[in-house]
Amino acid sequence: MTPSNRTSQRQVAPLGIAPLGVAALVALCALAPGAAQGANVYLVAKSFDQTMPDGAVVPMWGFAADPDGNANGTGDCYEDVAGACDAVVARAPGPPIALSAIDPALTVLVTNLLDAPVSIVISGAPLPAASQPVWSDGSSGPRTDPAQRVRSFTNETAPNGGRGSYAWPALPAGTRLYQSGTHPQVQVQMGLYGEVRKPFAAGEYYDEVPYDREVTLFFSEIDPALHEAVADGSYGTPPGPTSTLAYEPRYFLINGEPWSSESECIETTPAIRSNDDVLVRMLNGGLRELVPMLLESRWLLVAEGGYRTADPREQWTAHLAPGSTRDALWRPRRADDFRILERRLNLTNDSATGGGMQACVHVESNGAECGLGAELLLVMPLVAALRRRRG
Amino acid sequence: MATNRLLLAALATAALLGAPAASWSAAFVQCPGDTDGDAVIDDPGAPELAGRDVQCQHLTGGDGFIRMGDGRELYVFGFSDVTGLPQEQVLAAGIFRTNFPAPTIRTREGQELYLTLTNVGTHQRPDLFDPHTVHYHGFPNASAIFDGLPESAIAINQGASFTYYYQNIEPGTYMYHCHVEATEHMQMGMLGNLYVEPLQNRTGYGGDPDTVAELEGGPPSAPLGYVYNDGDGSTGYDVELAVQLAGFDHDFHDASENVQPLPFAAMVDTYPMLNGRGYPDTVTPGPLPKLPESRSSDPISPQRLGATVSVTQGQRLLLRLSNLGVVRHYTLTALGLPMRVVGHGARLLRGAGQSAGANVFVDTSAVTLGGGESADVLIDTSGVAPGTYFLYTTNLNYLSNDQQDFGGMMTEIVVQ
Amino acid sequence: MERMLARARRQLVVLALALLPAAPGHAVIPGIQGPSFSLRAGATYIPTPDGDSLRIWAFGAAAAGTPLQYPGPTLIVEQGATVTITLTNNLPEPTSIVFPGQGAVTTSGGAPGLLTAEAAPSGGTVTYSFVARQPGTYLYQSGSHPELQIEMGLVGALIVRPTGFDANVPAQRTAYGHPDTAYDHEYLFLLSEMDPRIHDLVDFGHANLVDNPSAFPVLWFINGRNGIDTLSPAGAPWLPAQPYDALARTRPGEKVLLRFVGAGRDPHPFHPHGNHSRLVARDARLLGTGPGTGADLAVDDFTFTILPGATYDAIFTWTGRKLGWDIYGDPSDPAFAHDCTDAVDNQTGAATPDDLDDATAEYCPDHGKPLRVTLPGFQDVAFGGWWSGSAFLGHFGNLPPGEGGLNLNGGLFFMWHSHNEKELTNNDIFPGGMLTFVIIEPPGTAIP
Repeated sequence: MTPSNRTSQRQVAPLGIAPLGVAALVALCALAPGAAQGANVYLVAKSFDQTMPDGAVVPMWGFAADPDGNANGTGDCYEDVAGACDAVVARAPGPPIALSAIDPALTVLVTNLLDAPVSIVISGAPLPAASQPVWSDGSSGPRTDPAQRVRSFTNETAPNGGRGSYAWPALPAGTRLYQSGTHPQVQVQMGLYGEVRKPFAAGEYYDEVPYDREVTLFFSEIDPALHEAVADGSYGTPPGPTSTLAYEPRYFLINGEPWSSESECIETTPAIRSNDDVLVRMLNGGLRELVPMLLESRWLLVAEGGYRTADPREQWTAHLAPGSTRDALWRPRRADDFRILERRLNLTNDSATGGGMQACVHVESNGAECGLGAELLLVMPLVAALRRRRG
Repeated sequence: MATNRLLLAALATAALLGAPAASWSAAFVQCPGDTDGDAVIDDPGAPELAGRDVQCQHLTGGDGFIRMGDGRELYVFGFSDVTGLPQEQVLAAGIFRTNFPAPTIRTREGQELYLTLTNVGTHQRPDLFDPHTVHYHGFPNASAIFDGLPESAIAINQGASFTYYYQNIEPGTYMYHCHVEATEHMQMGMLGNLYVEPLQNRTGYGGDPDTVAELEGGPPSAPLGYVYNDGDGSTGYDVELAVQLAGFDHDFHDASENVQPLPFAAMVDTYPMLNGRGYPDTVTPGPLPKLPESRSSDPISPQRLGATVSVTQGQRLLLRLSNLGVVRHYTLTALGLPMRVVGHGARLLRGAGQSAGANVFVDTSAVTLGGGESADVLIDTSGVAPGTYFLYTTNLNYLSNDQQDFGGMMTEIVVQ
Repeated sequence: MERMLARARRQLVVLALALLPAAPGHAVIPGIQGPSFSLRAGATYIPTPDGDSLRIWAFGAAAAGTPLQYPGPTLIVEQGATVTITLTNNLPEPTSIVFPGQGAVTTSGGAPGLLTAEAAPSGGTVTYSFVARQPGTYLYQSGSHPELQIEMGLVGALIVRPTGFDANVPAQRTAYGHPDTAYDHEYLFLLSEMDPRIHDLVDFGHANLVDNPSAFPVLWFINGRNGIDTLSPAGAPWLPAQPYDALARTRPGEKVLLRFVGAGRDPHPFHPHGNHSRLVARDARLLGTGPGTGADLAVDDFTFTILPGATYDAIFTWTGRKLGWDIYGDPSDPAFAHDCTDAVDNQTGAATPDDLDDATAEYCPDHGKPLRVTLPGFQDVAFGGWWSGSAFLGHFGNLPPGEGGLNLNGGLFFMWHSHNEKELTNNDIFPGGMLTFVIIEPPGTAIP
């Protein structure tokens, strides 16, 4: 069995919650002033190969967690690019960055082992501190010529071993995407994206949005032809593609894996029980609008792009814009395996049916099952509270 | 095409009825208080204007050329603003004068708009007989006669003029386009920004004269304007940018230019644009360079409308977004800037039809618009670090000018 | 001749205005009544306006002699009912039905599938049962091989009437049991699209060669019909597998409930010309702050993106309010004589004027105001087939021979259509696709 949704939820440990050590603080002050009370996250940008359920091997770019997660050792990516990092395996989406409510600041320290410059931006958040765009002519700062085209939305980390840091002094609560801010039409679809999540308070994801359990559904897509062209260097020079206009994804993934006959239901730790308020984080790392659909239940959409909504709506679908996120509160009223499928019908692996963007969430009994009749009465008191507050 | 048949039938009928062949030689402008037919009110004291707030505008519908971000020139249909031009000169002056996007129509609540459309013909395609219309997209409680739908009303033939009458009663961000053979004429470029400013700009809110909008003579401390009659200033803005999303398929335009069958089924967006240009042309503040006279007779440029803006930290920026593309939805983000959607479809996002309900503003990182949708997005730059920000589609493969990378649906917002 | 004809028509309309009661009739969405349904799934063909005959898979009522149809029969049930649907599968592969928005569905018979129990090919059966707890607009769709079976046509609408619903009592004719969702007419707009290459492969027995990621629809449908078949009568014999039309009709001041269902794979921005509509529900939930508040978070809009798999309810009303001219013509001209009397609020019946004529909903402050411009002459214009020849509601004007003629009552026709305007075509042919009309009929016109 290839990594299934079940395993992906279990195995991917979130990154970067450790408070800074004194040594790290010293080391980082020059890099990221203002990060003194926050979390430091060390990411490595690397290429890797991913095997699809049909056996196709697709060259990918992705992020990996730096093994020791600091800058004070000697033996891994950030400190010693030369070889100790070879065994580190990147993936797409990259490791989730999970901040605690008391981390106002985030600093992402990147080691770039790709042969193109990269950078990190976060959707729905300010640009990293002291950002300067980098232009097609290699210069940075304010635009000096109308013919310049932006190459990076923020400061670049040089290729082939360069290091960079990206600091957000006051990242708000919510669900956001981190992704490459460099040549995004190429680098994002190659796999340089991941999840940033941060609760408002313990047990409260947004202000007055309490939750008991959580699950992430990270949607992404792969156009293998474009990946090949980028990986073998033919992208950008005729007869290779010279723009990404003809993008046509053929693999459709949730949490980094397409559905397959091997896939199993997501089982979170701790387990979701009936009548729990489950925070469902949906992120779209792909380039097209998606419509996740929940069967035999409904969820309350509470946030969009990391912003709590003024008008939470109880739906069975959600509009999931590319490069954006939706958060839903979901109260399953019974033990069951709940099915989610992407309603734009991205449900194949290449052309093979029974794949694509499907998921299943396992809910255990809490011992006090509601009858069949109660399951659609969702979280109306919560809705009312949110709406009163907004008004 | 069907309309050719209609035209011939109309001509035949005119002959049968012995109607005078009146207006082949000149446009015909209707504008109260305009004494010389240039769609400019010369006599504001005219009795017919008493107690009224009247605006006149004269557009031509015709053809021409524009230039894409990678240098490719495309044949287009479009509108041009000839307000102020004597009507007897319009048919000649309108040749190859088309603009993309179409000239912006900006009006205000309570204002009556007399909008004359003169069809100057398609000079690159003398075989065509296409009539044109203006569809004021979203006009509330419309009449059929002024809705611009040729199937359910009338469309103006080449060499003639139609004056549309609209009493603007609902502020907001609308759009307009030709509705004749809509897929074709819209793909060919007959797409314009249209918005109606609210009464609150003139009255302020809460009885406080200091809240009268600067646009209407209010103090510098007041917002430049408001998007809607919000009653509380929540839609006030200091800087405004109307941005039209659209995409062209160059194969379609080339087929039209070369009198080939039009590829409707194969249509895709090969040139995604903001205000009629692909990046980095979008950051040229004003008109793009002129085209040769043989391609565009516009004295300024066929592509006059910029798509970039500069704001001072702390100002509120209003983006009036509309999608008039004919192929697909687009999602836009303003990376690093907070986006608050305060209006959609030319209505304040407030429950119970804007009257008594609560605001349902949407704070978000991205806004998705299908064809014919509009959104009013406020960006509050308080606390935003000065710098260069990017407004672009997160359908990232559309950051292309056809086969040219680093282009397409992107522009820049500079915060100073 | 044409002038005489126009005059005769006008007199006819005037006569009709004088004779008919104020609001004769209300449009109701056709469908089959529950709570128990017997459906079958099978293969058939539909004609498309580009001249093709397209292989589709479709649901139909299982009763003998009942054709398969696209979309499937609209299922209509009462709130609280236990709904039971037995499906017989005459397709060459397993099929099933899922009911988005409903709670737990119990199944009997069939074989386990990925999403629900499936009926075996060539005559297998399965039964689904659920309680329709909440009123509103829903859909049902295949839960097997969905990227193919939904494309092939296995979709339909499900309407749950609120408790206390009575189509004949205005106060009880609501979509969600609240007065904010009361309506005079209701119409379904089930939006979908097809890629004929996929259907041809299935037709030729090569379903295994279908390449879903490159699906590229070139046919667009409302209620299973391409424009302008959308305007042909319901049950038109030349469209045997497409029984539902999509023509909306209303009279001034009446409320039209638009039930939108996204049944295909793409989002469609649907633009009802004529006026804004108020979006009162999404995915079968009233847009309100809580129980009993009504649709107090509803907002008006002029274009609604209908997402696949989602449903929307909107209410459209047209009065011509504040046009700035009298859309019924010059009342001092005997041919256009009409009064404007406003003593009551048309919605509440209270004795408070609302600016609208109490019978016709004419906007009285504009009564008698002239049309502000002179319209161009015959030789200067092209005429639409639905054009009455007159700018005034309920009237006909002179038209050249061969023009107009499709407008029977002097109504105002407004197009309701996808505003991704590429979708106004039928496989490379304009016009067509996802378009239909509403007719604002003169007061007193019988509907349906």
